[in-house]
Amino acid sequence: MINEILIVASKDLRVEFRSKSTINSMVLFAMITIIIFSFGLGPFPPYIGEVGPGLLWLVFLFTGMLGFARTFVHEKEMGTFEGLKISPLSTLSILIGKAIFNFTLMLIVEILAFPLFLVMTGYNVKGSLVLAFFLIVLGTIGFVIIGSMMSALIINARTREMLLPIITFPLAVPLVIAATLSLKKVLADGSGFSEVFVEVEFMFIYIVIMSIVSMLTFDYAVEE
Amino acid sequence: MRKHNITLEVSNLTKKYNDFIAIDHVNFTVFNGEFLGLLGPNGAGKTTLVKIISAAIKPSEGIITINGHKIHEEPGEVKKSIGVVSHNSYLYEELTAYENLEFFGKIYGIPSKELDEHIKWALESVNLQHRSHDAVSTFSRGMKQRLSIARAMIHHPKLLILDEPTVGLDLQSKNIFYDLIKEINKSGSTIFLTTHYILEAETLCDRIIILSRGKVVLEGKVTSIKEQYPNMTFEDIYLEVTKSGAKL
Repeated sequence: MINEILIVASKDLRVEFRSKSTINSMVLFAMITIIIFSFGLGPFPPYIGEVGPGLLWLVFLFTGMLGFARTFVHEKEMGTFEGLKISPLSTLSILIGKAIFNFTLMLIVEILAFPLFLVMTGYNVKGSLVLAFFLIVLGTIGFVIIGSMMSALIINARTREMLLPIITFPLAVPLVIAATLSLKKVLADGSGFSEVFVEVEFMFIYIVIMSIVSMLTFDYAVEE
Repeated sequence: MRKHNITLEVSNLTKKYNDFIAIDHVNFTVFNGEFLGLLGPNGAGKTTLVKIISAAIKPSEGIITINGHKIHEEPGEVKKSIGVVSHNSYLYEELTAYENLEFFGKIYGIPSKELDEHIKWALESVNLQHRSHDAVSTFSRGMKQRLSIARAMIHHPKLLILDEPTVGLDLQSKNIFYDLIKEINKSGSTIFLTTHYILEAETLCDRIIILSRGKVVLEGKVTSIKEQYPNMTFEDIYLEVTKSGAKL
């Protein structure tokens, strides 16, 4: 099972880094949005501590949509998804493999976008950057699980790219609220792990529940 | 024929999409080493049948047994024992021929020690060893179909399913393809070919089944059918049975 997941994820990464079509779009979108935000807010805005984490998650949400939309759609358009379905791979391995692929792309974007955001907005970081990044990663795991599952659900829809944010965002709202609140606490208020434990716990439970739901429903989602 | 000589057994197979019946109580058997052709016009249900046999979709009714494994009980075992070549190659354009075969070899569970040997054998079988490190996007349609056979053969399946594999191929590529699958059949593999090219089925297959509106309307050896209807060409027989949708 783990071997199958890694085979799917490494194949997707190999295909992506050969064409770089999705990662280039994601990185460019994130960079441009952050630069626009920084110019729009002006130099060292006094309220950046409060609104910054929300803006950052907004960038991650829309960047994620660019990547997730291609997860299964690309395979479907190229006709390779049929090949995966008739292979001995379990559908669960395909879903988790795709989620790992999406997570890797998001992580690359976040590694580049997070420091750029802090620098461009002149953010006065009061807490631990490591903890802040851990919270971003935790939120990303939940977001990737939802996004990967939803991208499978829309695979047979005609307006799939349009449909994805419409069905993903409402589901991601509780997660994003927890992720944004905890990030604000750490970055703006200098809170430690114990002060964001409730949000961490909530995100962890959200990840577990969404993983179980995705695993139970993925077979039906991709069935013709 | 005894059960152990049977590669594929389809019993009472039905597939419904709401009120539409795509496959209607189909029964047939494919024996070891046989080259069986499934003929039928567009919309006859050939691709649906192939999708069910290759465990990509579930039937509404019926039992399919491949190499002794029932699809609904052991889909994984069934998938491991078949290879599917479609008009769609299932290949990743961004990857090289070698990388594609490496991926499919891994998902079919070929041990890493033997993988390179399997890939080289498959590439040589389809005469593409000289293009092994070229991206599939640089291949012609005919080369992609040959590589698709290599992909389907990488794990040495007992049953090779060919779903309209020559659609869109030029005459030269078709002939190369025909020679290749004849060789594969001679080496002992059972072949199940679906096509709407009558000549293709007539020249390649030992036995044919004609499907029309989801039902089997004619079944038999090519030579027997011709003997049975001496005043009709094979094309006339095909047109007659598919027009009426009933057995002659």
